[in-house]
Amino acid sequence: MCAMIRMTGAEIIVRLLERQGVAVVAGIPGGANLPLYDALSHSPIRHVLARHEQGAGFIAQGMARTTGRPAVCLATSGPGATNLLTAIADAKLDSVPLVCITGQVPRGLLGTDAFQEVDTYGLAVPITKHAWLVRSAAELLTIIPEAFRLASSGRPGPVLIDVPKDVQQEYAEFAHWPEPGLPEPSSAPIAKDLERAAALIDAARRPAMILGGGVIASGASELAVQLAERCAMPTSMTLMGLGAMSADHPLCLGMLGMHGARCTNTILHECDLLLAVGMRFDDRATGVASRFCPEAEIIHIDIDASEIGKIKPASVGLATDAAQALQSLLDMTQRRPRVGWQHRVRQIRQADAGLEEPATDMRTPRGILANLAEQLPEDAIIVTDVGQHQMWTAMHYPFRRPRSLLTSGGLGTMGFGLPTAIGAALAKPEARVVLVTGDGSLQMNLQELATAAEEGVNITIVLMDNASLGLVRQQQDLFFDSRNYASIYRRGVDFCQVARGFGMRAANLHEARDPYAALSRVLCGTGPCLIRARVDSSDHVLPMVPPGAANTETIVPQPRMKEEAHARACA
Amino acid sequence: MPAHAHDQLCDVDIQTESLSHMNQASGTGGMEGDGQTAGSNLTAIRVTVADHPGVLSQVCSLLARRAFQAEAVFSLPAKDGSRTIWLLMSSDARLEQLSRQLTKLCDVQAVEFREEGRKLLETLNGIL
Repeated sequence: MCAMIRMTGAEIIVRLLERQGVAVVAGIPGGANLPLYDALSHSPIRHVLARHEQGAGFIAQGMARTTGRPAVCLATSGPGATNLLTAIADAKLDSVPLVCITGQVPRGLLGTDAFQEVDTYGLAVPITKHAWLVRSAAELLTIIPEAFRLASSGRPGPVLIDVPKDVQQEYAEFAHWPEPGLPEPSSAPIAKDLERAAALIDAARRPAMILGGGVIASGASELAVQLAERCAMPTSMTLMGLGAMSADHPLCLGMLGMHGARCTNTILHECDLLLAVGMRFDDRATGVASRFCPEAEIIHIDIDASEIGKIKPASVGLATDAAQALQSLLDMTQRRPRVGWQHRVRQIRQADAGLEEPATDMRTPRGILANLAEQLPEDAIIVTDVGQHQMWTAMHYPFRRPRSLLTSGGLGTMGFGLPTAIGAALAKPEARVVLVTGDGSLQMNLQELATAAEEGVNITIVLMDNASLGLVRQQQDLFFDSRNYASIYRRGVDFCQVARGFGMRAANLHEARDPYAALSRVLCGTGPCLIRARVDSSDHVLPMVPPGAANTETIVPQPRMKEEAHARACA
Repeated sequence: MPAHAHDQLCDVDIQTESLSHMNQASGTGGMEGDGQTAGSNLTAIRVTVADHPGVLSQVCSLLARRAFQAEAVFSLPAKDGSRTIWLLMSSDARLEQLSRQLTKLCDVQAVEFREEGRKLLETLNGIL
């Protein structure tokens, strides 16, 4: 008979994390989670001390988005927990598996408005897949593995475990350790639905495909490319799906929607069958939903059944794992060249050629991105913040592999980039991690420069500095008669000086005699560094579909507009 | 910049649109057409959940954040240690979507549309 194991709740948590294979956690200690931190000090798990709990949340996101496995962040009660919420909500909307463990006031003080008490459980419910308030140390033995199972099963997402301080200190006795929580296999697609889907694809004359983040989460990118080739389907991606099909692929249409190429939105508008895989018809992707793909029958594959029919009614809905469904469709559909459709697609794309001249000038965002693309290896990880630089990156950087773009899609969280890049570098120390950011976003989690310097992570920060909230300014230019209220910083920040102050290397791109060489120098070095590029604040991200319009109502770059912008810049 | 491009646009209520789509798609609209009173245009849903403090808030929080208005909520313990939550909902077309969203909650074990529940809850309303 085996001896009983006797441990505190805090020790149980740490041992269970080790048994889950967690190697790195990010967090900040405080009064209500100190027992947990004390137990962690005896563990081989590496702890990364963030400077703000939101930073810890996004560092965990960076690890999870890079590996696809749940990552862990820790915070104390009250403000520690509330500071985490933005990162949790971001993970929920982008389906990122996170396990958040927060300290809570002792059980006896719950509900008394104790110091640093807040209803963390209640706050977490709407932005997690599930949340627990742990009421005894023994419960942790079921809750922790269950948390990992839930976070990674089906449509991944964040979970939160709120652990009162006295539960962390309470002893529990148990005979053996529970098995680590692993993702559950999804249910197989229904054969009849698969047959109907295959028949619809075979019957289609102008089929097209959209790949979303679910394709990447499912590891189905290769299968999706094969199906596109087999059925001659031009393929677009949502922001979250970029990298699922290589930008170099002849069938690749790039991103669709508000900042998709005009030809991409036109091709989708003309398709008679839409195969939507692991995407949820977000309004930034579809424009006005009723006018999106108006002539198309829709086959919707999504592991989350509640997404099917939520925005667009589907002719066939397959609530299953993308890889399983695509594998079946590969076996069931006919190989067809669809020459007429391919011809039409080429025609539409050619009409857009020359809309924008190629950019190499390093003083422009597109020039910087082109140079980055040229210099970076294919397996580089690009992280963005949120704003103009994000859309330019999504439009112009040639993503070739799944998980090569980490970006905040659903919640659109400025401040996402820096801590997420740190997390990516922690998860993949051998990879080249480049954060493309703007001055507005960088300042929202600027304190994490200290974390990056302290951990010595290999990240290169490419800062496109226009001294304004560029995407806000753009919308004011376009839709509010250029009344640029509260979108321009009246006082500039010397970001290189700031970065050096935090202990990292920094350079101004426009001061370099040879910007190309300067960029390659920072891309080759080790440890964190920042390169700042001053960019024109009057630049617009175009083409653009105005909010509330159909995807066919695109604002495209026009010579007259460029001249006006130039005149404004000179004035 | 074509300034007129956005002048003609108004914010389209996607929520409303998806309603009508769901209606066609799922056919759960309660359009019996037998001259019902407003009171009978309601659907009762029985939700079986794992019982713990906070589970009612989980269900109600979902209703609120997905913009569903419950006419009545009635919660009582079941014999097997689970809990039954009755929801009386106006029979709009999104009920299938509501059912799918409820099913996603970890504590939810079953979601059933129950005709007899409506009369039960209406009787209850009369007594209370």
